[in-house]
Parts: sequence; structure tokens; C-alpha cells
Amino acid sequence: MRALTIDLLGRSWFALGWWMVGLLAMGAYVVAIYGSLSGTDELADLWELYPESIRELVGDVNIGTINGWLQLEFMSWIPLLLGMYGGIFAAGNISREAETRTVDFVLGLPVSRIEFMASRLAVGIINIGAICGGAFVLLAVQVPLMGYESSPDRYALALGNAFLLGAALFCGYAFIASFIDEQARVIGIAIGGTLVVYIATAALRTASAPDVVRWLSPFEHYRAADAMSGRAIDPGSLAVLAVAALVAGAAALYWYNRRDLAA
Amino acid sequence: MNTAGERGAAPTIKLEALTKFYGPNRGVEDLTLDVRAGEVLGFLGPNGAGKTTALRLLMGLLRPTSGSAEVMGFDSMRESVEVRRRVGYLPGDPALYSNRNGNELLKLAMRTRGLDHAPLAEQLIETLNAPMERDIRKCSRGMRQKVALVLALGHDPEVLVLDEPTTGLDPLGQRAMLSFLRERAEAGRTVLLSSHILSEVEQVCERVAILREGKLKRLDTVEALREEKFRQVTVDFDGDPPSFEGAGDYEVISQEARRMVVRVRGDARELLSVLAAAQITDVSIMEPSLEEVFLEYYRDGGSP
Repeated sequence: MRALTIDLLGRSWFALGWWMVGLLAMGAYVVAIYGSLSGTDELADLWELYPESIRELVGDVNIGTINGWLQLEFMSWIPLLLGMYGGIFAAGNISREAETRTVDFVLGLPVSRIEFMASRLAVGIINIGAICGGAFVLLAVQVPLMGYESSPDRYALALGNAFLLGAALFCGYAFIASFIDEQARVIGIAIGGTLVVYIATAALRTASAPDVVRWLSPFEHYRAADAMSGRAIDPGSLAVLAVAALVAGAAALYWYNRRDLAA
Repeated sequence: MNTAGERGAAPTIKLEALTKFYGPNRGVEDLTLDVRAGEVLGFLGPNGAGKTTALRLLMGLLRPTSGSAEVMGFDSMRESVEVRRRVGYLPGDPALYSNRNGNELLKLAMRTRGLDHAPLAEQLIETLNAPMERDIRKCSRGMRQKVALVLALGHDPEVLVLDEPTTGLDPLGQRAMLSFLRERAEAGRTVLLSSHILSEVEQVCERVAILREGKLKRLDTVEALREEKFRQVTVDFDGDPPSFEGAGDYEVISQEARRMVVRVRGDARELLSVLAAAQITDVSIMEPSLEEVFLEYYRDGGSP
């Protein structure tokens, strides 16, 4: 499994690099433009003009502060980007392997199906960690460079929460990819599903839906606004995401080990 | 790596009532056969006969509906890693990572096998003229097949499981590959290959398993298949051909003024006794090619 994991890490770094370039450019841009907006009264008024559903989704923050601004323009987008990355990675490295039958080459080697899938899960999670780690380094370095007060502990907590959410979403998509051998379909499901559930989370919060219903959305357990406002994140939310990642990952392993790999 | 056992010992490959259904469709049914060390067994059958299904079951890529498949005593599903450690597997129409070249893939294969080098890779690369430096996406179908053969066989596996190994190869490559397979069998390796190219099966296989619609129709040596089947007798007469009444089970293939071509099944002595009484200027008796035997099994979907 070690050889497969290293090989896949090597093959995925190029695409990962571009994802990180995009995300970090976005983060750098958000931090850079804060200077021209900070201190203006209109910013607080602008926030009040946002639809309630969006304010619910972003969370309870003061966008007049750098951390509130970062939550609005950067942290609240990261779950979408991680969800899409996870879906595309799962489609490209699980579904596509079966679709193009490169899996025949790998499983002609002394490799079990569980090792094959575990290497995909491991590399996907490592890459999601790298994206979150890159975002942390960007904020921890650029915010003080721009002359604002840095809050690395808050960034770490928020991005740690994002990492768990990204891992849970990725493992869920890996499970879907374990039985759909068509890359395009899995990408469609992942991108569409991520957007729909994200928007549905906002709608459920706005409609004050029962907790048990809201609890089912993985985005409900993304509490970066609390972290960026200096509040503690509910450990239950972190635990739910970690358990969801484990359960979905185990389901992906189980199903891939059970299924047929037809020619 | 263990060396292959002496020929005639316990079977290296063992399929026991192996059955696979895809929903209501039969892949293979009740397939039972053994292949021993040093033996080359050919799976013959037209498209959809179940050859690839049987090989994928053996490699643990498909789960059997019932029955079992073993390689050197290891169960193909429960101990698939041990099976793959001992097998060199070439899938039909092999797919490889398009953005890699053969050398990179060979390194990955050897690392996964825990080997520093592939003992037979150099020989295979040279024999097949495999383009190991070229990106797979820039390789033709035949080049890709050569690289896949190096990847599958370069580590000198004890068991070779090959799904149509010469597909896409040029005639020189085909000949080199068949020669390589014979050489490996002589070195005690076990070879199971599927093919619908009858001439190549005839050249390298000692036994042949003929599949039709997922069922094993016949398992025997190439010689036995030929012998018990028909012979084609061409007779030139000095005058009119005689009556063939009492000549046994025969079929006239063609008849010209002084020449008859007859296909005879089973014992030819009755035909020869009829011919002995006739004015013959020439006679030739030809054994059927495996292709003709094969076509007999598939003609009209019926059994011969």
C-alpha cells in the first residue's frame, strides 16, 4: 500500500498545486482588499443588507473586523471548494480507474482491493490536509504582513474544522465512487450535491428547521464563524465530522472489497 | 520466489465448479479444470464464451456466484494478494496510466512486489522491442501491449495468466511472444492463456479448454482433439470415382471429374478399403487444423 500511496501522491501533486494556487490567490486577494474597506461604517450596514439565509450560512460574525471579513469572504467558501476537490479526486482516482480499467493493472500486482481503496482515501485526506495547511500558512503570514492582528489559533481551529468537513465529504464521495464506474457522473453528483446540501443548510437554518434535520447536513457541523469570533467550536460537531469520515471511508472500503470489477 | 514444482505434482491452477452469473446472464457455469506446473493450457472460445470471465475470477477481480478458483493452493478471493504475488496477469486490451512511461510503471510494479529489479524485463524488452521510454498516451495499441507484457511478466512469475497476449502485436512480436511462453513452460512455469487465435494456441498449448456460452465443452490435448475428429482425404482417380457406399461416416466436400475431397469422421479404414478397390492415381490424407476442430464445436451452435 505504501508504494501505491506514494505513487498516487506523486501523480496528484500537480492538480493539487493548482487547487492550492487558486485557493491561496483567493485568500491573498481577500486579505489584500480588506484594507480599502476596513473602518467604513457602510460595511456593518452592508452586512445587515445580506439576506438572512446567507448570514445564517456565514455565521454570527462582525465583518468590520479582519477575522469577520475573512469568515465572510474566505472561510465560508472553503467547504464548497473542499467538497468539490474531494468529489473530483474521488471520481478521478476511483471511478476513472475502473472506467478506463487501469485498476486491472494495479490489481494484477500483489495489492488487495482494500489496499487500493485505502491508498486513495489516504492520499485524498492528505491532500485536503495540505489545502487546509496551505490556507493556514497564508493567513498566518499575510495577515500580519498587511498590518492586521493575526489570530493563528482561530485560523487553526476554523481550518481544522474545515479539514474534518472536507474529509467527511471526500469519504462520502469515495463511497459513491466505489460503485459508480463513471468519472463524469461522480463529478456531477459531487459538485451538484455539495452545492445543493450547502444551500439547503442555509435554508434549514433560516427556516429554523428542527435540530435533528439540520444535524444531518455535514455543513451544519462547520462552525468556523465561532472559531473566527473567538468562541469555542462545539466538540460534538468535530466528533460528528470525524465519525462521518470514518463511517463513509469504511463503507467505501467494504463495498469496493465486495463488488465485481468486470471487464 | 519459489521455483515452480515438478510437472505432474499438485495442480498449480485449480478451478472447481466455478460459476459466475451477471444477474440472469451466464458468465461461466460449473467450470472445473486443473493446470499443472510446466503446462500451457489454452482457453479457446469466441467472444462472449466466458474466457475473460474465467481469468478475472481466477485473479479475484470478480466474485464467483459459486465454486472456487485456486492458484498454488491460495484461494483467489480470500487470498488474492498471495495469488497476485505468484501470478503475472495480462488483462485483455490492457489499460495503463497514460501520462507515464513503461519504465515508470515497471518501477511501480517492482516496488509493489518488493523487488529491486525485474529479472526478465530486459530480455522481454529486447525480445519484444517494447518502447519503455515512451509515454503510454503516445503508444500505439501494439506498443501498449508490449509494455503491458513486460509489466506482467518481467518479474518471472511462477504462473502466467494471459488474456489474448498477442493481440495487437506484429507478426514478429507474436512469434517472439509465443517462443517466450514455450521457454517459460520449459522452465517449469505454468501458463494459462485465452485466445481466439487458433494457430497460436496450436503452437504453444498442450491442452485446450473449449468454452461455449460459459460452459466447458471440451478439455483435452491438442493431439487428441485432432485425432478423434475428421480427416480430409483427397483422392485422384484414373477414371470415374467409385461408389462410396459402406465407406463409413464421410461427407463429400467437393467432386470434380477425377478428384474427390472427402471428410471422414472416426476410423478411416472403411473408406480406405473402398478406395483400395478403385483405380487411384494419388491420395492424400490431411489432419484437421485446430481451427477446423474448433469450428466443428461452434458450427450452428451445436456440439460435434
